[in-house]
Amino acid sequence: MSLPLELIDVILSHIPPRYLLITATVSRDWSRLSLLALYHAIYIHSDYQRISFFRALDNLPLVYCRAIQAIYLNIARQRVSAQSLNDGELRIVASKCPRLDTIAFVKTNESHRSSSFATVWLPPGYWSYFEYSNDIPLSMPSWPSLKRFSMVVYTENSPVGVHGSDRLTMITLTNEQFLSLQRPDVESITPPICFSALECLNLDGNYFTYESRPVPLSPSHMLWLHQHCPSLRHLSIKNMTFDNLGDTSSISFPSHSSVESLTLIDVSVSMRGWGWYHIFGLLCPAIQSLSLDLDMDDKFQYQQERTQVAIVAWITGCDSLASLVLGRLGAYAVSQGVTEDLTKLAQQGEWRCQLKSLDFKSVYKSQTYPADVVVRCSPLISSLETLGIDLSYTGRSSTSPSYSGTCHCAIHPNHPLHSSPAPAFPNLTCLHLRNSATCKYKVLLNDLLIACPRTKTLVLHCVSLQCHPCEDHFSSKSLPTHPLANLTLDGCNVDGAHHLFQTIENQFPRLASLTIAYVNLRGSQPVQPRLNLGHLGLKKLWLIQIKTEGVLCYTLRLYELRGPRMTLYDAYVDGNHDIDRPPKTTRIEVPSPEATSKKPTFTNTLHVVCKYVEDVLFGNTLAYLL
Amino acid sequence: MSVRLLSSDSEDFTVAKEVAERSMLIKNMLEDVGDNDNPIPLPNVTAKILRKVIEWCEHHLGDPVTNDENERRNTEIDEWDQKFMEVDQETLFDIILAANYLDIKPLLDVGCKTVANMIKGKTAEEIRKIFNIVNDLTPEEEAQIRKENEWAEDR
Repeated sequence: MSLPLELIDVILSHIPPRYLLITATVSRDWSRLSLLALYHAIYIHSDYQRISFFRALDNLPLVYCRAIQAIYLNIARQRVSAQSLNDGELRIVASKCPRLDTIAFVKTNESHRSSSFATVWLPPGYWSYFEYSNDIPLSMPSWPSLKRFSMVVYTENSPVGVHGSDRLTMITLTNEQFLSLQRPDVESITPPICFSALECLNLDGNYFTYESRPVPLSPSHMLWLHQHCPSLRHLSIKNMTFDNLGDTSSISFPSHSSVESLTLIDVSVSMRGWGWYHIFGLLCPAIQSLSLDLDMDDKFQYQQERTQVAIVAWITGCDSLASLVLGRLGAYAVSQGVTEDLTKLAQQGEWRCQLKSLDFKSVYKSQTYPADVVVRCSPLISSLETLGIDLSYTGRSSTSPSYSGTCHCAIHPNHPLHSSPAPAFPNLTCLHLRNSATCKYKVLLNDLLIACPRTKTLVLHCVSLQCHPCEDHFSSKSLPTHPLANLTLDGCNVDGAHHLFQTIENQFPRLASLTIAYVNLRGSQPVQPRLNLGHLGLKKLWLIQIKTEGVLCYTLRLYELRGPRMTLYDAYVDGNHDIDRPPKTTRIEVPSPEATSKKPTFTNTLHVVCKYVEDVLFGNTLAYLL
Repeated sequence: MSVRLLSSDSEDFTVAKEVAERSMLIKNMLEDVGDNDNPIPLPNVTAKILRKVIEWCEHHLGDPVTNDENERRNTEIDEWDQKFMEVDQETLFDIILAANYLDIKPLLDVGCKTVANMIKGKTAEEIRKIFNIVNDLTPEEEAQIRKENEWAEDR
């Protein structure tokens, strides 16, 4: 019984690269088809792999060179450095791969994906000043088939004489580089610089120079953008200051309506700078996504009040705003005031809020956002699909919550997650719950699941999670299965780990991705926990630095079910040595988990039973920070 | 509106037209011959397999048709399809051959993904057994293939 080769070809297109290496040794025909599939798109996950790929490319038969269409370097696991492609390597690629149309640094957790990536960019370490002294530093290598360009300019020199600027789709510039583009002598260059294809512009004041104070931006700089970047969609400004506004009444601000998203990070607006928010509103009337993180110090109350009014007017004036991220807004009072004003206006119907995504990235040390006000504002919450919020309530109540009866849970009596009978987040598909400070209040897992019945992605960051039932707080409502697909616990303290495991095993039939990192599990029974995921179609399983009762789990026993067979992998954590998938340890075929019980077990072992999982990671280092 | 299909072992199936039209082969045939009560002969498909294929087409009747190669490639096998594909290997291969012959791309994809999942993690020898292949590579060639492409080993 066999299949014709044309169908083998289709089958091989669904196989991840490392298995293509095995199928390539099946037979001569299979070898040819497997290698063509392997070289169609190159996925590189480490610097070591990059070096050996380029070594192989040197002697690669032409037929496979011609198959290469894309090279993706994965920087998600930080084993490929972003500056790693060098001049020589790029030349080899340009000369050997005639069909290559994409080189990109990507962040992906999957080892094999054929769809196009959202983030595609090239670092320009190779367009160094010394090599191209006349065309510094943006001249493109001659590369006719390359369609997508993007780059970060790693040089202290100004990008004078930009060749190919009209083909760039994405660029990162320092403050000085940006300003130098507007010098009279640069402006007079022929052909004039024009970023006609540029869609994404990042301005970063701190890119190289951590000491020098960046020159503040003025309205004329913003007008320059409007004239020179007609297709600009994403504008991000980081570590910069906006200048004192003089009299702007004589300037007319045209609308740069191609701009869809505006991100201000670590940006300061000078004293009496509230006029800027009005200008942003005029310049970018069509923004759908706004992210604000303002680092400034309005000392006087009247300053804070005017800033607050201006920001609220700006946000509520953006008709197509769908995504809002609020970090710091200067003084804490301004942040708090803006949040309260926005919820009030939404409640009263004066702000016709269309937000799909709302994220509070509060980084004030001792204060948090008035999260309960937001959560109880139904016009704001009901349409949301994504919410990131801090529900820790630190600093809002210093009294201990009342204990009653047999309950030993520390649960805030008025916490919106636990106090409301109806789901608090009925339409939410993605929830990030974080706790920025040490907080004695806990979140009940069951209540959380009832609060967001449609959530597919749940990220709990530094939250104290209580999973075991308690007579007073555990809701008697029996839970239906929950549609959760991605669960991440990061830096959490979990009480009742046994119940957490039961919930994961029984409540989430669609779970595809499970990440547990820097988590302390308490109350697991038996002490060596076993997570049985054999019935789930899991694709990603990351287990990093897990402690049970405060002791680090040094061993992972992974029982991989494949039909009636079961494969056992053991992975160990020792020091900084990571064990990546598949664990490079002994592979033992075993008939059943019981038969393995005779083998020596190590102290604190985590047992996991699962079907074939594409991406398994068991490690112990900070390198995999989420 | 229904269509009659005749399997290779001469079993006559009557199915709704829109079910039969999931197959591009049948769809094109129907367009060519027009309204006609004669059964369409399918000499490459047995009754056993045709029954399975019809079952699949009926379940997936409402599915949107996607021509996006990437989307088709990246979507997971859904639960129903997984159950559907829990058959012996010969049947699985026959379904794939039938899907290819009848030109039902989504079914072909599901079948190929199922086989791909079977292959993952198997040794070359195990794969040869599944596909009934004789190894025509010399040990030296095998070693060379492994060496030349060892960069692809994920590490």
